[in-house]
Amino acid sequence: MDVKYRLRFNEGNVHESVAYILVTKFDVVPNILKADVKEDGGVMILSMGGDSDNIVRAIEHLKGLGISIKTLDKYIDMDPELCIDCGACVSVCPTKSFKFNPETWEIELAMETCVACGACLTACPTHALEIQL
Amino acid sequence: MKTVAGINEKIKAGKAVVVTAEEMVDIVRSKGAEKAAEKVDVVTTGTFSAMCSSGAFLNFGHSDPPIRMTNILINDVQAYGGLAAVDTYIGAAQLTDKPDGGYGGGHVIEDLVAGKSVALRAWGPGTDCYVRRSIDTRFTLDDINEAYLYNPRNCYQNYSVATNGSDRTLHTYMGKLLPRMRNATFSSAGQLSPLLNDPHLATIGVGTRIFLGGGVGYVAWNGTQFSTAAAERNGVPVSGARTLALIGDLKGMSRDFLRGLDFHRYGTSLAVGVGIPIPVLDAGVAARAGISDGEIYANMTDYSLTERDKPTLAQYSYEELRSGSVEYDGHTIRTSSMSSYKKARDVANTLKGWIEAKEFLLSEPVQPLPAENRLGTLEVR
Ligand code: SF4
Ligand code: SF4
Repeated sequence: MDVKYRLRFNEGNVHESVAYILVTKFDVVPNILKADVKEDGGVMILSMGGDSDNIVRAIEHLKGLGISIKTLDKYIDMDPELCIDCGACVSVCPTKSFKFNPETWEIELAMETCVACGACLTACPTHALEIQL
Repeated sequence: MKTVAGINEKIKAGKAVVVTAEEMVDIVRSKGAEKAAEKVDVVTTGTFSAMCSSGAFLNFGHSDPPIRMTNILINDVQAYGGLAAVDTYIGAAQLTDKPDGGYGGGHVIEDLVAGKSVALRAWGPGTDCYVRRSIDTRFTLDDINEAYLYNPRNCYQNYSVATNGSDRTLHTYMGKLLPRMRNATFSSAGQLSPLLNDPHLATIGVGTRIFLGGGVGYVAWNGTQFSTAAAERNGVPVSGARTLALIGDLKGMSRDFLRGLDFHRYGTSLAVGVGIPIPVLDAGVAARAGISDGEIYANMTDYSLTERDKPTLAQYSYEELRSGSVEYDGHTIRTSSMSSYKKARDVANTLKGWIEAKEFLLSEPVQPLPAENRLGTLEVR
């Protein structure tokens, strides 16, 4: 799976055009999966395609602009204390990331296919799912 | 023919053979119903699902000076104020008065069984005998005199499969239904479900001792909307039919089997774990308790239609529904269960463990449930 990054902006750097910088300065192609950016800051989730050295340099550059960057290994946190293994989330996920274990009938979430669409959040009746942004 | 009393003697002697309804499927298949009835004494069933018609009666005890509560909020959820001074009923579907929502009577009940302290605010008119007019305090389950679950309608015998033929997402008590029939939801433990394993209630009646919410409970009465009129396939109804009213001491229950639920843009409910033991009195009982997901069917209807009686679009077995998708009109509909099969299994296995440990004896019904009952409707006059 593509590595995904969460970028957090503040008032001072929210106007930086990340996509433009990545493409023109580093020859890196961004795939923006989610963006929630307002005037005073916000977050963006993206993956990057291109030469890995260029990606490393691009990340250093963005950090230099004061944008905080975190590698995301998962988008969705599933709280086992709350989950009742009902399966209400299964059929709403566009990437089929939830599956029943056929032995135990417990729900398993495959993080590598999740695209952070958020569709499962409102399907879960126990609030067991939280999106990490 | 075996008797309940005879089976109880075997339980007390530690000799009863107890299996879950899931295990019974293979036993009946391989040995036949006659042999299964000789071998097995009790089949335990289980379900764990949203049961909106649930709630609890509470008695707080008297404050000094006492109050006759007529307006009651527990963790900002309205409880009924029309009983005697400090008695109340909190219903699972009652939503919080707070604007963010997401919390209701079902969650209050879960918090109580989890041992949490909850906030109580109540008001009364102030009378000569109850002079106090308001109270603001906290309590836990241990602090109050009585707390018993009384659920007017649980254990629906079967239920429709819900889909959505419209162009917009629907948020229902059957979960999130995507537009243009992209998914369908169902809510039954199927082959483990109590009333699907004894479909005509040959062994279940008023007074039957059961597993309820992790503790011991009883069948109090038939549930509301009890119907014997549903069409059947393989001897079991293909839609909602019989229901049970259940009662049990909340103080003996656990959060593992009672959970507050919040259905987005619908409201709150309570997931209740219920398990009913079926005494295997003869081959007929054994055969019925051996029914499998492949033999139990449910009707699919379109929840975007707003009228009361929705036409049946298709019928699927629980085996098909549990496979993850079904076919309809040339396209694939993905399926979601709303009830937890894992937890239904936990219920059936826990009850089996209690019986094997001689901690739970079977009871004979003191009165049968109605053999015939049709559903009435509410006419607008
Ligand atoms: S966020 Fe979207 S893709 Fe990820 S698990 Fe939930 S529904 Fe599936
Ligand atoms: S909908 Fe929520 S409670 Fe049900 S299986 Fe999915 S994460 Fe668990």
